[in-house]
Amino acid sequence: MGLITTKASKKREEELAQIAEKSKKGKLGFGDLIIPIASGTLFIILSFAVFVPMVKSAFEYLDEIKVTKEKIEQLEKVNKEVAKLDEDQLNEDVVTARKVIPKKLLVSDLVSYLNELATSLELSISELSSGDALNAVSGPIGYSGAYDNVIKFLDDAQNVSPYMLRLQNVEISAVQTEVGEVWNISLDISGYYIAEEDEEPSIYAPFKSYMEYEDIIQVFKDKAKSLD
Amino acid sequence: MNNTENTQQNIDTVNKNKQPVNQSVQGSPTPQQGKPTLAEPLGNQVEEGVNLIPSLTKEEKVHVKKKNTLNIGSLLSIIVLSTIALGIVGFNITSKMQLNSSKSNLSRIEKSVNTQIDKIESNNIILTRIDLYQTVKKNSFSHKEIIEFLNEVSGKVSGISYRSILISEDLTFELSGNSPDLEQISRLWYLFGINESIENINLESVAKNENGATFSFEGKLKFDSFKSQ
Repeated sequence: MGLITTKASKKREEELAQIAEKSKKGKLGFGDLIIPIASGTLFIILSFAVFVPMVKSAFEYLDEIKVTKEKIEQLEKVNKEVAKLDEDQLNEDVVTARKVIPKKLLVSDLVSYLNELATSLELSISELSSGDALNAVSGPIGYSGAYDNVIKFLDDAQNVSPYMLRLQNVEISAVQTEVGEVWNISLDISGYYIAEEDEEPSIYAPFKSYMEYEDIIQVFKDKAKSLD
Repeated sequence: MNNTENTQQNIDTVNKNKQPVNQSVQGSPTPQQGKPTLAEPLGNQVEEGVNLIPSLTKEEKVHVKKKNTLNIGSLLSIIVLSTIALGIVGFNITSKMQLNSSKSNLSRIEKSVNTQIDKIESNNIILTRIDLYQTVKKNSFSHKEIIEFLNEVSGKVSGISYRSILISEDLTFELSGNSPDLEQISRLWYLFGINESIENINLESVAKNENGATFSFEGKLKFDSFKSQ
């Protein structure tokens, strides 16, 4: 009987302990908040340490992809345009263009050409000097001769010359001599050249085919012919 | 919520079991006997167990409910956190892969274009010359045409001859010459004045001498009338 009482009281104690524990469990303790607080904190830390930089870099990648795609489009266009150019024709046209506007125009070349032109038109030289300026050879020149030849000299120098010439401050004047009326012409003349750079062109530079200017290429060809 | 229900169920079960146990131990229960006190030996009742668990109070129920909500919330927040993390990492990796793919495409095309760099260079050589030609041509005019034009106008007036013609870069011109009389000079002046190719004209000087008269004009020509073709 005594054994039963001890057993019962033990059981009762256990039950009471259970009840106490249960009532404790029913209450909201710090332990219950650990997971939400920890996950919230982790989320905030991850957001600042990982997510934000990752999202930022992902958007940077997207921007880079956009730029890369634009470059691809541009290069594809360039590739297509360049492929259209016939290499032999291109080389021939480069030679022609360089004849008209050379890499370097020597003063002697320009003077020689002008003298040849004047001699062919029976003009006599009255003034000739020229020097090297920025991308041009220029100087004052003067000739004298018949009116028609003076006008032809002007026209040839401007339109027929193999070089790219510019005439400025043209003055013609008539002088009565023993032989008759002689016309003097004085002007400033500039012959252009283009100093070429050695560095390779950028493939990303805007590309325009020279074939779009066929009329000017024809002018270059006509001018270059007079040099041959 | 489940805990509450379980507790209540246990209480009910114990209560149900209570009566038959009392009956078996004490024979037929009498109304006088009532509920056994804690001091009384319970016999079989002890082995079956007595319901000592009190039903949950309102406050406890609220606590349990809160706890459960928190547990579910925690679980959900972890799931959401993992999903966001996976999403962001996935997005990042996908973007990077796309970028790498685009870059390799670009590099392939760059190589292809670089093989034709000589052609591009030659094209540029021609283009720079075309540009220069256009620049020089843009502001250039035909001196020959201007001189012929001035001679044409003077041809309309008898006895006019030019001594000199100066044409400047800005299309201003100076011309001097001889005339048999002042009347012809005034006619020439009039013709210059009404000509559409001349922007303005001034008679700078005029003089009468034994042989006739001399004159000098200054004026400006219109660019459109003489620009190079």
